[in-house]
Amino acid sequence: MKILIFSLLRLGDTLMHRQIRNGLKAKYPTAKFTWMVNDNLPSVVELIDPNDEVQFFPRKSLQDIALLKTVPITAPEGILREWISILQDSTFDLAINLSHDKVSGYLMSLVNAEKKTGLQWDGISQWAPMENSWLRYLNDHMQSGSISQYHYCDLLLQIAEVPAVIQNIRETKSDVILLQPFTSDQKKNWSLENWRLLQLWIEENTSYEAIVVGAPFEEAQLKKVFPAAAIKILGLAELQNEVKNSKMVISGDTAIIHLAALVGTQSLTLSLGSSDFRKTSAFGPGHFVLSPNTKCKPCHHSKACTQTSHLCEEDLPPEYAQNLLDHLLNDHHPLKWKKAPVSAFRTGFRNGFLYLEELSESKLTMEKDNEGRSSSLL
Amino acid sequence: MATNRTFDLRANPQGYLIPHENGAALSCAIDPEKQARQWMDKNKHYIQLGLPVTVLGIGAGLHLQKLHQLTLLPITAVDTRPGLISWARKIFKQTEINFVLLEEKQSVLTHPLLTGEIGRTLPLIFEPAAGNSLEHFRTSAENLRGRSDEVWTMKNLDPAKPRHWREWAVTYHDVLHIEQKILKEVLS
Repeated sequence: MKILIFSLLRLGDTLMHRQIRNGLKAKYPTAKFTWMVNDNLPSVVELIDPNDEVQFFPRKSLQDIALLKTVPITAPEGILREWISILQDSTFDLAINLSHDKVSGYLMSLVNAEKKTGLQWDGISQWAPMENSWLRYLNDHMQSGSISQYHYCDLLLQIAEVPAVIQNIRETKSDVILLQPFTSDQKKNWSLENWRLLQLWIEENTSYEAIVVGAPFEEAQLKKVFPAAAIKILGLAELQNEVKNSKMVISGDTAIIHLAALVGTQSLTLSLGSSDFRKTSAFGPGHFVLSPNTKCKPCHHSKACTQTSHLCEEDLPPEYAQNLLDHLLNDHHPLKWKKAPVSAFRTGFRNGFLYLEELSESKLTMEKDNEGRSSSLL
Repeated sequence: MATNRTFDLRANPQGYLIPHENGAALSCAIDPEKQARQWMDKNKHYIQLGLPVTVLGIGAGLHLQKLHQLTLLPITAVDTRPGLISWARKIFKQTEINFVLLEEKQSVLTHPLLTGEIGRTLPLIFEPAAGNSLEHFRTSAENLRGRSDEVWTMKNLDPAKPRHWREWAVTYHDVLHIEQKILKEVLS
């Protein structure tokens, strides 16, 4: 069976789409997968199963050629037509659109596939009817600003009619905690000063080493705040290995959190700005989220912060992250969380769907087992 | 200027016919084969884009022969010399290369056979064949790319406005084909 997966969004989305690929693999064990991803991130290949084929949609190439003064202004159309003719040389048993955007919907109508699942153009004049109720739910609730009862991966799994392959947190003897300060969006970033305070706190108050990770283009900024010895600049394949070999990953709502969920490393997400953790938290049991209760959060994905200062960040001082880590890593009771400007959540599965359980001081205390150990890490 | 031009063909030692204008060769008289090969190498990245090509300058025609061997896409060859056009039509009569006479001072923007190509063809100048027409070729190429100020003015569009830009780059049919729908999203 040949399955084509459209994954034409960002890196973090493609990593979440791996959860659906794993579900498809569980349902169709002999299936061969072809991924269609954007060409602006060729290194994503490093994070996709080596048995899978990867094809690139030339989004960036078309944008670059459109600006190239030495070629005709309509050159991108000719190039796209050529690319489509090559795409149409292949046939698939199933094409599934996990991107749910217009480009992937149009491309779905051009693919030769016996069965097509997800958003698609009817090839004539309109979008094909969404007969699947989960697809309609995704369409209605996944836009920025709308509230969803379901995680993004759960909806896609339901649309694909495949089970979630649940990756539990792996036992590990690692003494490394990875901190990734940067996300792709300024609104979702915690200040580097906060990250530095958290890193120092981990080093001084736990038995773990706190390593700061980043991409090559982030190195100069990281070096302004962190000692060089504490920084690791990594490619995607190296990052995946580091995540796999770590005790925990702490970051904003970004790709590394989804990587952690896939390899079974515990994560703590500091959910700021447009991050809507109910839709995009780590998709697996036993992960944690800290989210300030700031009124304007989550804000619009593609717009700049409208406040005079970064209020959600101000509502999440390092003490809360330290407090939760103290509980998770040192087995200490949490500090007073009543009337806190921050909420803490833990992920789990109920009836086959991911849910986020809000943790309170009493809840955390109650979770101590008879021997006084915290159950959160079990 | 055009009326004072003289045009003739002279065989070189290897037997290639080399066109001359006012006694000056319009391609390399010693090794036109090598010159054509070098031109193809220089332009191969553009040719590989898979777009229809308009070559400005016919010269000895060897570069057209090589281009024709490489691509199945439509080729138009433009020159300012009527005699050269007639000669080329004869030697390339087995091919589908379309030869077009563009008079000196005649703009591609008003040429009945070339206006439809504006913005839709890849113009490549064969400079050795330009002679006195080099500036005319360059202006014509700029217009054929559809990116010159003249074209924007003619279409009454402002390249600084993204909406206008997309309108010209993507929407040139009344009904959008699916490629154009995709491009409108990709270029937004």
